[in-house]
Amino acid sequence: MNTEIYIVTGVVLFVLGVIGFLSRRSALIALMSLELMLNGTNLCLISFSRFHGNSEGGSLFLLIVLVAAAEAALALSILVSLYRTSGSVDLDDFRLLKG
Amino acid sequence: MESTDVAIETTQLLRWIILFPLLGAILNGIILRLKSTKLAGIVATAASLAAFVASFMAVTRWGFSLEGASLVYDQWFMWFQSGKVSVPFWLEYTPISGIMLLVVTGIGSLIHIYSISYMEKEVGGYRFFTYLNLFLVAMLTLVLGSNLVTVFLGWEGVGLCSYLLIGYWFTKTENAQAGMKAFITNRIGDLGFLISIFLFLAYAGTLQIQELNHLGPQFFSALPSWVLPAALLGLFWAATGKSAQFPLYVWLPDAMAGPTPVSALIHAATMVTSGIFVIVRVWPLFASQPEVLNVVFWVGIFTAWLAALIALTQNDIKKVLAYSTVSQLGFMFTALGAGAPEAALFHVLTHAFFKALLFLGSGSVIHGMHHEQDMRKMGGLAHHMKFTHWTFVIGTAAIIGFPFTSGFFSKDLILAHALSRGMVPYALLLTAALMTAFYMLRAYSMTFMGKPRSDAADHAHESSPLMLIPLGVLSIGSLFMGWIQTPHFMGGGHLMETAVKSSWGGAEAMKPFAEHKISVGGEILMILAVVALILGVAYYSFKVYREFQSKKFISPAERAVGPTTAAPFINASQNKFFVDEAYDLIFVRPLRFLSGAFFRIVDETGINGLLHGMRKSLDFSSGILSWAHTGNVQTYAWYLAAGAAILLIFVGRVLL
Repeated sequence: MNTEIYIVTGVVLFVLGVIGFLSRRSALIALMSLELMLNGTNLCLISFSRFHGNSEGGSLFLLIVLVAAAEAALALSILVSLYRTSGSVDLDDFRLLKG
Repeated sequence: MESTDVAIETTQLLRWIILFPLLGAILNGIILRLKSTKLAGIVATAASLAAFVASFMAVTRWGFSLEGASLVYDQWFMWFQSGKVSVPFWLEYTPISGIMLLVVTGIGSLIHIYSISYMEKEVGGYRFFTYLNLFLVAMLTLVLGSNLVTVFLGWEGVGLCSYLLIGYWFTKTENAQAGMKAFITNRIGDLGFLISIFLFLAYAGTLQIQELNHLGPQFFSALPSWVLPAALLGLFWAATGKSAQFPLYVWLPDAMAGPTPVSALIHAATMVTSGIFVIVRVWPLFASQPEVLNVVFWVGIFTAWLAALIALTQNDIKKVLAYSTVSQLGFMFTALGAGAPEAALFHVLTHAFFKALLFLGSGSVIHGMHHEQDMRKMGGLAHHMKFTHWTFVIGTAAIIGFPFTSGFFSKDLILAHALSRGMVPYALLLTAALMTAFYMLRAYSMTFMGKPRSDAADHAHESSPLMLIPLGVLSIGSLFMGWIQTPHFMGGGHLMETAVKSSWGGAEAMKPFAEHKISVGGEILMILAVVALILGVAYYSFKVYREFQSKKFISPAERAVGPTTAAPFINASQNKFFVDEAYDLIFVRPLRFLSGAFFRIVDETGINGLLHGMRKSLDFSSGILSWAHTGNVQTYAWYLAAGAAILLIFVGRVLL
């Protein structure tokens, strides 16, 4: 089976996520871009697993999706409270760690 | 001991003389810290009296002339030992130490008693009595020490206590500064002592005073010729500091900022005589160096003269007495310089009595006047303070050399020795003695005669018996102490001569100058002339100043040469001949300028510049680096992406 197409799709997804994360100012979209990157890598993970002919990648993927769901929920709730306290989800507005 | 023919007697008595006051100081200063000044004073007085009893026992045991060449040591403990240098903490009894012991502990005890009453209103007075006892410890160490290092320990100790007591009322800046002035001036002198110690150690290899005396001039003549004069001049330089001689006398008048009992004990009776005492202890060495003695002689005369001249116009009663002390110390150094240690030490002894008496008398006046020291505001106190008045009369009589008082004998002895060194020094010293008569009667008349010139003087009260008893005892001493050493033709006592001669552990001192024999008749005539002159001047001063009224008063100088001619002289004398100002100009200002320059160039520019430069360079570089930390999460993501990209390129290069 030809796995290259899946790997290329995963890379494309990852790069799209990177571009989205770097270019958009909205925290929500940045978060979505992060998910995109994660899923791109996940796709690669499964593809490589398939390529090697074992099922460890698949089971790892299930675990990652599970954790990612929890993490996404957490990230969203942080975003909501961020919005409540500062009235903005614009990433440029948060520079507390400036050196 | 090097010479085996010297018998050494050991004892354990001497250490107690030091231990009692030390115990008193520890009790008062560390353990008890009594709230009641009176109780603290009683503790301190008990300690001082115990030391007096111990001293008295020592003196009755060995007396004022040690038989033959025996040495009395209290071999207490080894202080330190390093290589060839060993410094034992031994105490030594010599007849002159015996005299000093009695003076220090005896007059010291009287002044302790006096202080109980004088300081009664003081809060936290235990501090005062701790210092007083500590002073006794140091002074007795100085007197008893058997080697130069032990003596130096006491020497520094008395300096420290003097500093502490001058600045006792340290909340007044003036007093604190006077304390510092005394301390620093004494440090300048102490340098000489150290140099002397080092020279003796390097060239003679010993610091034991009696060993140095035994080595004698013969030993030193084999060494480079500058060694002994340099070492002795070092000691003399130290003595000018401690005993307030020109050029280092300037601290003593300022030291009057301390409580009056301190002025009496430290700055008149005991500490300031320690320079003379140390010189007498190593007299066999001094006697071999006439050139050094000449320096001592002229410094003494000059100081006696200058200080007397300043005392003529001072208006603060304690300042008059302070300059008089400087002047009298000058007399003592003159005696040393004329080759008469016994005359110097004799004057030390009599001076201790009458000057302590005068100071305590002035303290009684100041106490009665509610701490007013300006004589222009006194007057007529003879009626209010009868007892103080009469004791002051006795003190004044003794200091001007009224016939058959103690000062008469000691001062005439010194004058006679000055005469044997020539007419010029004699004339100068005689003038100083006449000035003494003048300023003392001036002080006496302005204080006790005439009409009260202020409310305080009008309502002055006599002091308590506790203050008057010491005055009485000292008066007796001032009257009769002179009889222990009388002129040869009177055939009386020669205690001083024998005491001094048997204090060098059997070493002999040569006569530095040729003896100058005067016939008995001539001597009597001379003494009569001196007495007549002194009494004349005294009477004149008394007559002039008993009419002193601050407004329309005309001073004798103005009377003699007219107000305009006299004004510059009076002004100069009142301003102490601008010696302080001169020192300020020559030493203090250049030093301040230099230290200021060093502060700005070395400290601020150099060291601070280096440190600040380091800080600034760090600041600068971190400023550049922190530009990268925008705090924006996307910037960091950019860095991450860029880093990953670079990594990818490299990995790709290597793998593919």
